[in-house]
Amino acid sequence: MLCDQAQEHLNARIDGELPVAAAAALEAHVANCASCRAVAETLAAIDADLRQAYAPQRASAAQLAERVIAQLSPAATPAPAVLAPGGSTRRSAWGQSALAMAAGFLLAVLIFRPWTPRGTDPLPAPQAEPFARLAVASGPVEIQPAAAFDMRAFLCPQDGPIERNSIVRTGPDARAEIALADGNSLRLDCNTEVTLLGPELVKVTQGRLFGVCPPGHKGMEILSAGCKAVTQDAAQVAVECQPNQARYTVCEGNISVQAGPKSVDVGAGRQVKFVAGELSPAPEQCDDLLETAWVNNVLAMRGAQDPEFAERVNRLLASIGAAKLSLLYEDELRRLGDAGVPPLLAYLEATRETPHAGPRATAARIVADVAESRWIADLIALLTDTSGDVRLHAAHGLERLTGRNQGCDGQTWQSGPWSLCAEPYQKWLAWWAANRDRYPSARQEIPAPNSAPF
Amino acid sequence: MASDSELVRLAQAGQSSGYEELARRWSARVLALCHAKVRSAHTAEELAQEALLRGLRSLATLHEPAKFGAWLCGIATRCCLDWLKCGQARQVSLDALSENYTFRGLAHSAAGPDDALERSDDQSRLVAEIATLPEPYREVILMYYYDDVSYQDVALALGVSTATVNARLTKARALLRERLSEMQR
Repeated sequence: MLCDQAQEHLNARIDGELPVAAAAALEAHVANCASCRAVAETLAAIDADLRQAYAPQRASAAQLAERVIAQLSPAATPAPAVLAPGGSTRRSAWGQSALAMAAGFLLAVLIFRPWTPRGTDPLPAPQAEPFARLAVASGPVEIQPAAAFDMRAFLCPQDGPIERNSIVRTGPDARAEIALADGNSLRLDCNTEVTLLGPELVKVTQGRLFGVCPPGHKGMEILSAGCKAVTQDAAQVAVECQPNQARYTVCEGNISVQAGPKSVDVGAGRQVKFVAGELSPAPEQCDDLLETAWVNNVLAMRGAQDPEFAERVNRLLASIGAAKLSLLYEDELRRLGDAGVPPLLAYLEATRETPHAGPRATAARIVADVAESRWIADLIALLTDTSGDVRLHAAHGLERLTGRNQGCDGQTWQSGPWSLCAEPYQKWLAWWAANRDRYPSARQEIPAPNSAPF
Repeated sequence: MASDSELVRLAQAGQSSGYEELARRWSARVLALCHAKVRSAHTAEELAQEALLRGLRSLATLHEPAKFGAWLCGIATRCCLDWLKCGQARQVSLDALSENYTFRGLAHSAAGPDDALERSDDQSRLVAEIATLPEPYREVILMYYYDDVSYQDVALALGVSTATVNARLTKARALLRERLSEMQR
């Protein structure tokens, strides 16, 4: 018996699955093999640790089963009336008492958990066009309506309407986007508080805000720390606010920052500071992409195909190699994790025939490091890329996700001729055909490559 | 003990004992599968609950009761992929990535505070290392340790052979052994 087989048998023995017929041969091998004896001891320790480590999960699973059974029971209580779509019950609760209203919203939040994935039951849409609404959020967001200054803030359901003069706060784990009725939008970083004073007027009390005024829409005014920024249409501006100071960074378009009688015009890629009652005399150049990197996390929540998200990822990629601190741009892309994979793959596809070797290799390396298994088919397709570096990283990514390389190492994919890679590639295609049901992915079919793609 | 097929037929005939037993029998494996896919114990509980409810509510559409396990795990997989696709994973991964963005770092962090129950250092290291395993190994090892199951039970859920379950468990434990010994050097 070889050690490899003995070790499979040792595992089976620990699990109580070793066939009786194999037991004697295993004992004989272990008696004469110090290495397998050591493996047997370690396996026993690992097994004992894992059984103990996952004991709480076994208890959780039992509780989960009982919760499911309770929900499936014919006697299970239906959803409370306060959650009926657009129902008057919910509106009347606002009029009855602030306490009942808070309780209702809290109940809705507890049941719908707006910061968690949506199942098949969408939240009821508001019937009237709201002044503003919470479009996306990565965690609980608090809202305090103007009429409830004496009431503690409560959680705002996603898509829930927000009244004029409401205070909106994000906690330490929540970022959010608020859509205003006039088409402008506000993105809030963690630990940010704003007051929505009007469709085009917002006050930042603390934290970081990113205001977007699309082309053709009215601009907006952003108040913070005693000064005011006035944006034009087609403008994007970030505001970082602390007590008695603020910093305005312009990503697109132009804004005017006013403090008392003083006013400074700021264009894209520049920023201006307001510290201790003084406005900087002139705007300074800045890297707006890095300064506002937190916005990427909000955009990623809007979906992988969001064009603004793709544009920012492409700008980060384009900055790699063109700046001294390229690593910072790569860091930002990696921080996006799996959410950043779709725009990186789109970039690799769009630039396949172009000479962007450096950024393409970087994009492929990040994908290989962070992609989840739903991108396996895309990684297989990248094995026929014209760039050896891209193929190398794709092969590494596949090995990380599947634990196999189909008999062809990364070096061969990087510099070997197609004749050495054709057979492993066919094996990948066959493997995918046999396994794709286990990985329902964005891409089920892998296009056939040219006769010799590289 | 009644087979899955018998329980499915009972449930399809309107007997609550059928779906109750199916829920108790399969909750751990579905929970393990979800944990392996999303690498967060807390999120896995929510997704597993959704998958079990969806599966048991649509038992009428299951034409091959013998394949209940693989069918239910398919539903759980789709729940997880929907969750990952809809971008909610960022809530875990972005925060996990804030300090250390390597794959190893992601997986260590992704184990999450809800995993950090009362455990010895060895157990914590093991649990963290499991999160770094390639998905097929992570899946089989979690499914095996979340429940008192046989290779045959795991094989049925994953739609693979018992030999594959044995091979994957062997490889998973070998990887864990290597990584733990690296740490101790």
